[in-house]
Amino acid sequence: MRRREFLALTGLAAAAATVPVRAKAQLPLVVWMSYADEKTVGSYYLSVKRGMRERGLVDGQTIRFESYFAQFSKERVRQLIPEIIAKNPAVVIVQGAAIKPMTKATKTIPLVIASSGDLVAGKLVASMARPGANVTGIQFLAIDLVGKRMELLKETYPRLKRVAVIADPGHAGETNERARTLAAAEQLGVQVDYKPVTNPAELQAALDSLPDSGNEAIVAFPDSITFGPRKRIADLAIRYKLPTVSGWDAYADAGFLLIYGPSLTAAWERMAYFVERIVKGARPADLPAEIPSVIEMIVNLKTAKALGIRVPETVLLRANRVID
Amino acid sequence: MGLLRSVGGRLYRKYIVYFAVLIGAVLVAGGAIDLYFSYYETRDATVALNREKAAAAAIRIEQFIREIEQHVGWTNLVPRDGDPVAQRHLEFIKLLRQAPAITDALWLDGKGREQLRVSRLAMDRLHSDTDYSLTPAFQNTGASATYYGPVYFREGTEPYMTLAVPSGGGVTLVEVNLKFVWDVIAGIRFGRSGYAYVVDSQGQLISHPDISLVLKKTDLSALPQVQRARTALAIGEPETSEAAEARDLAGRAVLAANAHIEPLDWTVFVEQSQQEAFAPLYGAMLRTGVLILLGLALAVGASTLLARRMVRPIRALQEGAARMGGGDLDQRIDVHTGDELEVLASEFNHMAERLRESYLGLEQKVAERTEELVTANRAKSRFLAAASHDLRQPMHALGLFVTQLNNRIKDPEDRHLTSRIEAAVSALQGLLDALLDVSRLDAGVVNANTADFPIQAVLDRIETAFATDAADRGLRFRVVRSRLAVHSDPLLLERILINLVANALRYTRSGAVLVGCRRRADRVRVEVWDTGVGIAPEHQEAVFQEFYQVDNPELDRTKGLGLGLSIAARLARVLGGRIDVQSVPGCGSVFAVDAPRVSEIPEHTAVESPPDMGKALRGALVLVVDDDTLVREALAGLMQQWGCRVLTAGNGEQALATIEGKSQRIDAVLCDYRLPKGEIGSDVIQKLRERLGEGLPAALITGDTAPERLREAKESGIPLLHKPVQPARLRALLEHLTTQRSVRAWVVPPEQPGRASGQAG
Repeated sequence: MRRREFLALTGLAAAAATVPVRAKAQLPLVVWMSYADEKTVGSYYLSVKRGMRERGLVDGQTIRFESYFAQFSKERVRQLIPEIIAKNPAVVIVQGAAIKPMTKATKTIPLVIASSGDLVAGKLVASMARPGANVTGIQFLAIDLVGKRMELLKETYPRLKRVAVIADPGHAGETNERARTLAAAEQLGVQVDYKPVTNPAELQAALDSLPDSGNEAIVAFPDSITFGPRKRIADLAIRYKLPTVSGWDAYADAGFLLIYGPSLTAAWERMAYFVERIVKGARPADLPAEIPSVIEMIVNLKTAKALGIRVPETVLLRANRVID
Repeated sequence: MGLLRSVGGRLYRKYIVYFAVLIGAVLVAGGAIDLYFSYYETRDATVALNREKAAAAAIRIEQFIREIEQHVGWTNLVPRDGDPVAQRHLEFIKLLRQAPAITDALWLDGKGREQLRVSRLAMDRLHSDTDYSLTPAFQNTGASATYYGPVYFREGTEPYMTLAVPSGGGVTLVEVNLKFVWDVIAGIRFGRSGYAYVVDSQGQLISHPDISLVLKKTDLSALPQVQRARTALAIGEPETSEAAEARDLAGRAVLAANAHIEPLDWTVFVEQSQQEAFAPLYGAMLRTGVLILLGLALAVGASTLLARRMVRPIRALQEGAARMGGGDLDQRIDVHTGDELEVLASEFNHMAERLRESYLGLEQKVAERTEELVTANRAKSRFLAAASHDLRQPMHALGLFVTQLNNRIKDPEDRHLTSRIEAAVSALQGLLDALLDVSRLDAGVVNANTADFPIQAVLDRIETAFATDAADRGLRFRVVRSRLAVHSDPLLLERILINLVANALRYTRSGAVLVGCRRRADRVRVEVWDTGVGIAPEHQEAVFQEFYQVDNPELDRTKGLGLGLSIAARLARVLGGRIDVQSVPGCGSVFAVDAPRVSEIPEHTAVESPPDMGKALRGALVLVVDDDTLVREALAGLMQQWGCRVLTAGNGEQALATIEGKSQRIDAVLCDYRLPKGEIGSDVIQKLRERLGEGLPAALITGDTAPERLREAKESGIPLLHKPVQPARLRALLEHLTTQRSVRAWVVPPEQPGRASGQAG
């Protein structure tokens, strides 16, 4: 063989090796599974998709992507789970109240979860460093920041005596969360009116009860129950002159007085990292579950103004962003 | 030639292999040396480059920490008025905003008690008075020195480090989330596989592009490059032996370099997989390989040409020498290489030339000798021919006259006398016939007329011919019957046996003579056994020479002439065989002749019998043409006794005149071959036939024994009789001519004239 031909052939072989030519049916299937509806969690969903695109996971080219929303129906979750398992997906991104039934239903299909709860306490992973089974993902520092949010609320609204806490008892580590909330409240000398909500109807009921409950502020746990109707909660709170605090930037943008928590956009984009690693062959057991490192604080001065609250300097100093 | 070619082929292949190996070895060695140096250069260059990167990374990581340290330091610039803790609280809040890696900031008073804690996760705390006085962070923070704590993992997964700086009579202590170092490390990616990572003094992974490895608290102290770096630090000689073995976590070979971050006692490693680092080298190897292959192909090609050029003249030499060895001395070896081979070739040519010259000399001598011998033989033949012709004419007439006389004399005593005369004439004729036989056989005018026939036919006649003679000699004579058949000339075979048996009887004084046949593969061997004197081995060749006789020193001619075996041997040669002899002197001899055997035995093969003598020639008109009056009268007298009417003529002209006007049909013409004035008998007969018709029966009579003359006569196609003609044979011929039967020339054994004529007549 002549040298030129030989080199040309080796070049071809190398090119062939770097461009995987796979039939569409053989592409790994990535499934999105949410307890909520698309309207509620659409922004997470888009963040994940953006993160995947940045990592070269594109529907129809390198992966197949399918999404399922249970529309806040536990029954629907029960129906969807066997359907999804039957498709034998490469990885399932599970969110919200679908996490627990999904982790119970399969011990083999890799699951990437994003949870406000405590993964270890909720027995979803053996440890953060070594999840050990088919589940890994991100823990949104919900528990850790419970006290911090209440502290900031108190610092902003020093006369606070009683606070309504709206939380989804369905997510992992909820019990722990509740205990930490109560402990922090006690430390701050604040009474807690705990309002567990598992669906929009319960949320509506909780919100309807607010004017007569004597609560002076609202702590809304950032989860898929409160996330969708966050604007409604904020508007109601302003109407009832109640300062509001939650965990994610979207709440502040919706009119919450302040938020303190991890950057959710960054966190959901980070989910794509797990998807990529698993699609490329890593086992969830070997992928440490992560805690967001960047915590942001946003103060909505418009809301403050509407509530007639002057936000102290110590609080403003901490703010990464101020909405006015 | 096969051997030569194979030798040449071996030499040819050998040359090719030598050249190819030589050139190939040079190429391979060159390529290998080149690759060897390329390998070390590439490796050292890669490692040096990696070391630069590692050093740069080390500086950036140090900067990262120094920046945090700086931010922490700024919290000391607190105005001294007002509540120091409240002031510091505000500064710490600012610090946490400015340094995202700091999760917690604490201020300990001079006694090591916590007065302030600001955390990103936990609620702020003032004046808790928690005792930190015994912690290493508090104890190891000097008046001006910063304390860098060991790396620890929060929640069992997140790498953290405690950093403490002296501050306001106390110590400011911050917890730094080392995940933020990832931003520095992840920026150092190069090529496909190049990356950097940081380990602490225990080999614990602090930062890595794959964050999951850090979060899993990976211990890298077992990696050879980490161990070496730690050892080098321990003995105070960093950056040694970096080019040595290095592996990544998956066990793949890598090229590693490191840089130490002095204040933190961390080490930055920069690694690249050897496969990638040496990729250019692999390219070079490929190129070298291709070049070597090309070079080898060229080498083989060149060596093929070269070997052909070297081997071709050698082969030409070999083949030339082989042809010379085979006798082709005119061969010249054509080699023009201008070197030793050409000299060698010219030496060969010179040698061949010398050999050829000496051969030519020899050949010339042989030719001269042969010429001499041929001349001598020719002289002998001429003498024999002349002598026998001149002797024949009178003998011919004498014989005819004696026969007439014998027929005419009635007185028994006279009859006895004429009988003796007749016997003497017969003996003379026998001698002449034998000489004629030898002459004819030498001239090659006797041809075998072969056929398949049962051997018994010949044996029968032999038995008949010699039974009486043997009885007269007091010998037992027996011919064993045989059912074999042969393919031969029956007459010639019979003559050979007649000669052999006559010979056996003559040399056997007592005992027996036996004739028998043996089957020998596809041949039949006819043997004649006797209990005679025998022949000594040294004489067994000589007995076949003319006139050689065993035990006849006085040359008694009644014992024969010594031509019998000679003629038998010549006849055997005509039949394509030879006479075989075995003998023990004093015991006897066995002479044998063989012939090809045939399987089928034809029942009644016509073996030509002597003509039937009972048929009368009475009334036949015969024209005799002969220039010798005596012969003419003798022939005429004899034939008249047989009842013929005879016309005579001296030459062709007379003959034509004689027949002129004769109304009676000429039954036969007997014409002498050599007539006066160069006239030839065959021409005369031709003229007579022109006159009387082509069917005129005729025969030639000749006294010539010269081979060429005999051939001429034979070629005319007219039956030929030799002088002296025996009356019986003449009569047979006449009878044949008058009845138009073909007759072969009939040669009689010379030693047995009486019996032969007796048999013929």
